[in-house]
Amino acid sequence: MKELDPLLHSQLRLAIMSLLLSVEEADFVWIKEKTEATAGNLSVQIEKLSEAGYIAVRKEIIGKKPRTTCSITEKGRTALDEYVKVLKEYLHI
Amino acid sequence: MEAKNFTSKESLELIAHMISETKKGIAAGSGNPFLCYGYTALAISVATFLIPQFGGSWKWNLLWLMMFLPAVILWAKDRKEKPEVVSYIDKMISNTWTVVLELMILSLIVIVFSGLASGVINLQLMLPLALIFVCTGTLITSLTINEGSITGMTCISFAMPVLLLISMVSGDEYLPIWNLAGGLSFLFSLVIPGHILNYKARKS
Repeated sequence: MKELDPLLHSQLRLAIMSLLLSVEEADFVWIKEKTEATAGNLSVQIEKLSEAGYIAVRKEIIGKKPRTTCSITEKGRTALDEYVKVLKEYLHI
Repeated sequence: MEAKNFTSKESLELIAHMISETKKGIAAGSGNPFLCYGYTALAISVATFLIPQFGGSWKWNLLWLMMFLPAVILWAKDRKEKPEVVSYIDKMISNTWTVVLELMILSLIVIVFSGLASGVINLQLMLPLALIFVCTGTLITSLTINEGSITGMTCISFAMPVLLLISMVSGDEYLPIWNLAGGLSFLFSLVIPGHILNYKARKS
């Protein structure tokens, strides 16, 4: 049986990936609200997912305010798809 | 929520929960761009209908070029504030309206340049073309968000540009009443849909 992707098998990182799966892009503040994570912890996990190429992070200034936008990449989508397949094998679904 | 590990069952539950969190209704103010374009079109149609009645020149028809004004206003507004989350549906609708605007600009450029070559710039075609593009945009939007009342209303609005084109092909003179007819079509394809969208957004 295959191993679960350790990068995705973490509550917060999986939550971020699942949120981004259904949207084109999302703001850092929105992800923070939905995951109820602290800004510091969320930043660290987003950085890890970004380094793995699972999500794309865009930083810009909108109306004099900094804004961080995240979106899932094709690599991230494939990784999450594979993760769910392995999960289903574990659970015999 | 923390970066801790958890069981396989909890993983699946979390994925399902997070995906359900992304489901949202119509965003507040979704109908505002429709209202912005719609009321501009209505005002222009009434003005271009009334001015010739009081002896004004046909050149007042150039007021229709002000239809591009809401695009500039909305573009400036979008640059200042962006939504927290953009769904695939939001993106699709936004792209649809970008294409509608591009088609209008392209049509105007083609009409002006072909007119420069022939010596006569005939902008009459812009009204039915704009109506067809707008009705198509509204139809795609209503079908995407599954809003049957807007779909039906826009299908009826399609009759007006077709009638205008028939008159033009028949060689009829451009009458001021056509502008009013165009405004009526914009009323059903932009103004009323805009109010319906805002009402639905408030309810959701």
